[in-house]
Amino acid sequence: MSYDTKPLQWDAPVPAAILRFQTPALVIGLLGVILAVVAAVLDFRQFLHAYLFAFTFWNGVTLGAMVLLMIQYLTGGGWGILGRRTMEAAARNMGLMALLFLPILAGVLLNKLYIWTDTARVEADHHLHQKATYLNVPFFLVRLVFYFAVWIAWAHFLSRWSLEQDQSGDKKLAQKLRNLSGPGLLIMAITMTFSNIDWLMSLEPYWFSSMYPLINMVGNLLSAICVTAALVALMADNAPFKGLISSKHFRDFGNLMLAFTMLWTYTSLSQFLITYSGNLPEETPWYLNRLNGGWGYVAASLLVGHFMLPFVVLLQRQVKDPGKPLIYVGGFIILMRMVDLFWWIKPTYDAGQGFQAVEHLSHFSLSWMDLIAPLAIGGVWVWFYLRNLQQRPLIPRHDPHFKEAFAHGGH
Amino acid sequence: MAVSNEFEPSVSPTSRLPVIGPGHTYASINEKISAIVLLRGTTFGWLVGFGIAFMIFMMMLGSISYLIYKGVGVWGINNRVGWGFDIINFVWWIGIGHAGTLISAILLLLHQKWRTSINRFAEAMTLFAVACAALFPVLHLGRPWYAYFLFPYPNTMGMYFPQFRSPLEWDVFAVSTYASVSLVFWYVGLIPDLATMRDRARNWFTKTVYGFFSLGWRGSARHWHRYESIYLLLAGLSTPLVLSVHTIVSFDFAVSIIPGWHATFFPPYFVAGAIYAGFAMVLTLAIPVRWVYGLEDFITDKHLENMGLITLVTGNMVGYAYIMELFYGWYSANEYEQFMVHNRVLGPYWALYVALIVCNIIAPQLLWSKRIRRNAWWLFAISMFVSVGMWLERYVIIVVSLHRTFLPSGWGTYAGTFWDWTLYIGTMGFFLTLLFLFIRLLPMISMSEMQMLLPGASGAPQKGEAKS
Repeated sequence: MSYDTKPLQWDAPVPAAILRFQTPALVIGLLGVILAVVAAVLDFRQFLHAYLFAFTFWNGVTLGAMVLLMIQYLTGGGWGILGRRTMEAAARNMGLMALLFLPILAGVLLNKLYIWTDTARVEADHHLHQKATYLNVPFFLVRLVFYFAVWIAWAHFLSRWSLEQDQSGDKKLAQKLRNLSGPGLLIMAITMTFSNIDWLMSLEPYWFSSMYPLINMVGNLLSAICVTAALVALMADNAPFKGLISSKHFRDFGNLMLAFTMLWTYTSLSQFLITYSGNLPEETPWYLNRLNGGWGYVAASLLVGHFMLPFVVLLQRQVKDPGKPLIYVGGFIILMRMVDLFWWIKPTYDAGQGFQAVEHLSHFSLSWMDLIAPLAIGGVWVWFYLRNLQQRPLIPRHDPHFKEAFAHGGH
Repeated sequence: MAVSNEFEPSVSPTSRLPVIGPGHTYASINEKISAIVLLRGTTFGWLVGFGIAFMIFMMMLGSISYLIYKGVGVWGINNRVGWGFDIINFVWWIGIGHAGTLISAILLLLHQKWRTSINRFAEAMTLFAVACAALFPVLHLGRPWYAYFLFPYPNTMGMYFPQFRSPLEWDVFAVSTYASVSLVFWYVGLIPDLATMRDRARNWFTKTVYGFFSLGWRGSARHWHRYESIYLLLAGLSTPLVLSVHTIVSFDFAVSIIPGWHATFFPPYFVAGAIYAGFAMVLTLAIPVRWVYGLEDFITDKHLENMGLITLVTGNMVGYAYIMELFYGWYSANEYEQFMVHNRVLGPYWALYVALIVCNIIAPQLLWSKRIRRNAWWLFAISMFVSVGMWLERYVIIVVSLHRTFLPSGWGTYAGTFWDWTLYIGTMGFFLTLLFLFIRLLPMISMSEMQMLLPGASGAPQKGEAKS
């Protein structure tokens, strides 16, 4: 029984292999923030599109980590005990994400990002006028406050009770966490759906797709599991993971990455196929804008890089079992997640944003701001993430399923 | 791996309820399960149940005979609602089958040990449900003897695939693949048990029949090795089928532009609904069977609770879809979509919609309570609600969307006729007849897999743990 004969170093600090990223992250983040301010001054609308895409990605990692935590509390599994603290560290960035929403909020209030904030246009447009009951600034703000209030509250209790469990070993806390997670998943599904409608779908307010928020949710889970798996794999050779973690856990991480990759493909392909077959004028512009004018190459790169490559690679046991390759596969998928979100958001920058404007389709463009924004938010996010990670022991030793999960070689 | 004996392997990590009753040994499992088939004999109760089911089955055959004699005009379908009971029932039955595949394939790959005692039963249910489902589209053809037109074959019409862009055509392949893979999976899983039955049989005839179907199984290490590999391979093959079949069924609706059908989230919505309906049906059947045959040691409260949990989760997914359908109907700002929502909730079929919400969204919320999840009576009642609710869901989607489409001059109403109902209820007789025969003739719980749950068996190859 490995964890008895070689006692675990519960209080082992976060390995240097990880911590060496913290200062560079801060430097990149701060430089990025400065450049982002410059970008915002130079071209606010261009900047907002880049920023929204970067925000959506990092917010997705944060939300995805919360959902994974809750799924793990309800279903168990050694992977989640190993990844608990990294997922918590991500979830605890929720308050930071609320702060980072401010530029988008400015975009809404200054009528720079969404066409439905333009009251004159809404008055003149029958379609937008009908939607104005939902798509109007005051109601948008109410919903915004609600989403972040819910997310911060859930992140807070998930984090706090887990810490209390670590300190006191109180058995009741596990049940409390489960009770929080069941309704939590339900409320996450609803808030993630409507925040997707508010922040992304309403970029093109003539268009709607009921699958779109689901693809976004699956994408968030995929981003979060990739970050978690990569981080655990990076720390695997150090205490306290060494001796505890086995190829079985890595296989579980790899299989989860595979499952979410397949689910992303399933939801994305279904949306495409149904839109294509229906061929309705209010729906097809979304794809016309994203398959023409150079964007088709980006779509093709998604097919190859977001599905085919990870799918084939993650089927291989040689990739999953040693753990280390998951760092690179996870990193690659994270990159493709960003490409996917870029492909979602950027075409709205120069497209007609609706079926009246099919004649001027979007053309591919990549501004320096599109590269700076994810690095700016990412640097700050990673710095806080690593700071959070250092505040607790890396293994939740009082998890009631700890013994069961690791006694059999664990699964 | 001597380590594993320290912890009770039969206890699932998520709860303290055991997945197998205390005090069982290899022999007691074999005895208890095989005795239901070999020693219990044909009891009076079984005869009565089988007799009733068989009579309903005969009613189905009568209904089909009249249908073929007269034509599909005997049904309620009309120019407005060209798809009625036939498609509703097809989707209902095919959805029910999904729990079997989920239990046997996905839960196996996820190392869920509690699947063991219910998988055989649920897989049988899948097969019988698919048989019932397949009847409807074939009969809906009007001239079912031409059903082979659906398959690609060299013919004088010069087309191998009749309209391969139609999801109805994809259905043919999705469902036939599903049926064949499920059958092979079920049969392969049965082989070691058939050999046990052969060895325990008391007369020459029984021995020969079980012997024939057990393909010469002797339980050697090599046999087990091959068996484990093929079983895992088939589980891998079945996994995509859980998603693919109902996805394609949802395409039947979603690729059209009918309001209420054309929604991009139909595929996952339908898959969740299928699993939901399937688990409700497993509960509906498992609860009485476990009571009649005294199988509480094998189908424990743990099983019931877990099935209740999956019902709760999938039920809430379906609930999400219902709410979002209303929202997007409004958000579309499209008058036809908005009318569809209005017509669904307040139109002539409003009562069915209300019943649907009660059965499918409100009733399963009771499952949040642990006390209810562990109570067989409550679960049975809720599962009945869900089965009815899932039938209503398809009725609402299909009939309500079709009966008032784009042009008010084309509006009409729809109701099933006597022949619709006799066929629908008749398929339940068909299903139950097959189920009664299954219970009487085959071990309804996998003996070999149950034995692997025993503490001493942890060194033995654990299915799904050997490789994954």
